[in-house]
Amino acid sequence: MICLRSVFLLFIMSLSLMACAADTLNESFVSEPYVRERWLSYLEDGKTKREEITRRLGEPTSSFQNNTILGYRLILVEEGRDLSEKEYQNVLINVESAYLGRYYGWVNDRRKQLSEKGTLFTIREQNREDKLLEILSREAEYSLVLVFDNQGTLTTHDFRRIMP
Amino acid sequence: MKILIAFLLILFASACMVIPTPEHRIAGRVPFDDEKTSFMVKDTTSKEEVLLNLGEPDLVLNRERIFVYRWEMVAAYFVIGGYGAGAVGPIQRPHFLIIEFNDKNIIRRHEVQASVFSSATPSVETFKKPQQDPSAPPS
Repeated sequence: MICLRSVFLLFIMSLSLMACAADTLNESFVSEPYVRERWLSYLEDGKTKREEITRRLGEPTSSFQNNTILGYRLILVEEGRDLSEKEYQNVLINVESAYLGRYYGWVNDRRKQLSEKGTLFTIREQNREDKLLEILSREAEYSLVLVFDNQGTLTTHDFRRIMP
Repeated sequence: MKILIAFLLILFASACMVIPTPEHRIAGRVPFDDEKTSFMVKDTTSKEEVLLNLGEPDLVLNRERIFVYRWEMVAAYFVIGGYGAGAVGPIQRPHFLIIEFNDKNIIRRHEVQASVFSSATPSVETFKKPQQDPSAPPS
């Protein structure tokens, strides 16, 4: 009986130790307010023109109601180069072990790096295959919906994080 | 004979178990719960409002008449125990929010479909209104 109690106590203690060791996931660098301020601060209802938005973000993912509403599916990824197969696998392994082990040090470092050197990339039907590795290893995904008036001026918009 | 005993041991020492849990999300798209979709009112809410409240849809069908939003929730965990090995994993349950608009871009119908046995998006046909019998007298 004593032995059983010792084992139980040891189990509880090891659980507590694991809880102490677990890092917390830093959401600040992928939060909607941060990403909006970092990459989309030029969006201003009543002022920003459609041309400026397509110049910065490229062609939209989708358009609705005779192009008066544009939808952008944006992913947060490393800027400037295509991900190699090896880098992709490295990301997957690190992310999976972080979420399974509940130690988010690697993920938090990646998020910080992306906040400094990353970019918002627009997913379209035309680039889905070419950017498959980037899409699968994205750190976060967002939806941007923009409504324009007849003169092509932004009237209202919505930006939200949809994944993870 | 030894091989047969070993085989039987492996066979009977292994097991598979499914542990149902309350639905919860571990990854993937943010789910559209009742709170997020409460703004939608049939014959009132516009397509623009839907887009501004829910974001870009995952699938657009029938010339913008139907929007589909997809997300996954964990409904259970499976546990497989073998002879000296084992595995645990989630069983995902795909959910689909399907919204149909009329020709004035106003919501005509909306519903959530979910099934643990299917990961495919439901066909458009499943969402269409049942055809009325033309020979039936008008009500």
